[in-house]
Amino acid sequence: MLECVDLTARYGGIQALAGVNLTVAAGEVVCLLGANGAGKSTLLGAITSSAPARIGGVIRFQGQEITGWSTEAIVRAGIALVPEGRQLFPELTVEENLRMGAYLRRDRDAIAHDLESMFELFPRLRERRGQIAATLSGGEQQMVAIGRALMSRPKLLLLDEPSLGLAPLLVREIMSLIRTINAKGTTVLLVEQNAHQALQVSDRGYVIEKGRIVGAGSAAQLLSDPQIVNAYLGGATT
Amino acid sequence: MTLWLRKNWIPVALLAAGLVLPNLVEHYGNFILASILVYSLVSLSLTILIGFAGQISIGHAGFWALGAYGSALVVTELGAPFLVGVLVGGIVAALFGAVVALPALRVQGHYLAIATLGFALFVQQVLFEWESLTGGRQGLFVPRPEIFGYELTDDYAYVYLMLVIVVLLTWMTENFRRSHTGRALMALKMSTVAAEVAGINRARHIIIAFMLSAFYTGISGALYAHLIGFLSTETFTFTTSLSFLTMAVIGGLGSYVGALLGAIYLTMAPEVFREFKDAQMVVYGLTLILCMQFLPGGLASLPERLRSLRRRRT
Repeated sequence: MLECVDLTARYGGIQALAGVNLTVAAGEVVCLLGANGAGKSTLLGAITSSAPARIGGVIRFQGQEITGWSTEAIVRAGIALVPEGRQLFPELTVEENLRMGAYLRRDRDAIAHDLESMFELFPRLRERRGQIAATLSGGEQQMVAIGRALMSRPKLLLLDEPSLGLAPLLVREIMSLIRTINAKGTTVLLVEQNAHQALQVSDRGYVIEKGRIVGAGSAAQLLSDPQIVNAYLGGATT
Repeated sequence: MTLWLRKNWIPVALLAAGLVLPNLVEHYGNFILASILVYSLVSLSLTILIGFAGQISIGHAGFWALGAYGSALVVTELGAPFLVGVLVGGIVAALFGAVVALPALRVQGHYLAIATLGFALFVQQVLFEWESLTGGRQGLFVPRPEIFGYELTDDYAYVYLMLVIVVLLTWMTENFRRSHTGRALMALKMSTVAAEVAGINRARHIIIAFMLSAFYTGISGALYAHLIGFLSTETFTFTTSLSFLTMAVIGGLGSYVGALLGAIYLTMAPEVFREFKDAQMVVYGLTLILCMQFLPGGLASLPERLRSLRRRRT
């Protein structure tokens, strides 16, 4: 479904991505693991054309080359990004935030239907649909951010560190929601620092370091790879 | 009906005042009223640019000049009717607005302010040097406004014409605010990242905002040219751009009443502050600082502010 071939990105003189090859097949949950500054967010920014970097290489989505497309066109094509740090519209209500996700759609009835299914997916948001987004807790904000991205009816959902700043219990809740969303037919590319949690819900994973893919494999392989365990899972896990 | 009136009493009262006032004042009073209406269009244009879109400009004197000279030249050189001239003034300004929007796509804040400032200085300089067209230092005489063959010799009739234009453009602004584009602009202002990943095309919307704002200011400049009857490039200085911005801040960004109050302030302040002679600019600056410190919402927020103060006391 998504294919990045020899993808490069540079900010001025800094090389953020140095030839990344990565694929995501339809129906998969794929995670991209890496430390701060490894190039994870830049990769998502490059795919959605929302990073202010100079991009090289080829990005294909459903067989079509989308390199250099505008963000608008990419969203229209069926890719939605849940940006790092949630990035809600702070002064708008939960419902308005969700509706903003459907900005490019004109099918009123279907939007109303999708809004309803968001409230089914995130029951807690239903109670808070009229509440101002800035006053929500971190976990609720993350749910709104994910819901907003889903409101564009994406075929591929990109998540940038959804666990950031959340309590462990909430992280687990968000991760299991990702599985639910995937089960309903949305392909997911998940970027995470929380490698252990991410691998629990993923089919496959990539490890990125200094803008290069340094490891790849099924979730089970990565979880049992001693090098990965040492570098990203805090040594031997029990 | 009564409910509608209770909800909309402010615009209704303002409109009534606008209709009655020209009859109550002398000739000079009508000139003042006309000036207020001219400035209120600039105020409205900054409401769109700053209030809705979250952009900044300290170069609006440039658009104002383009509107003024655009209209004056189309009327004097090509013999176009006055209203066509005004429209041309607005369109010329809007086209340059698209150009000024380009730096806004790359830089924000102080840097954008400097870019817009550079634009205004450029416009002023070109108009000054282009003597064969604009008269350069000699200036340019502009005929009185004329509609359907009738010359509006006094400001009394001109005020009514302007009132129609101001009401029309305010109505247009409100429609714009509620439109898809208007909402997209406000979303971009709230969170650029979020708006962009929702599929809002930032570049297109910023350009629209600049063009629309420039259009309003161009119309205002054109109306001003025919009101004053004489154009000199000294009118369109950096100080003019700054006083526009001051007007918008003191009136209150993002509300129509604020836009009008700002225009009233800009028109009346020279009358009131004249006593201070050379210290006038000091008084202006001080007013601006005090306003930002104690009344960040501008004059439009004064009733709200007083109410909250009274509530705190009880």
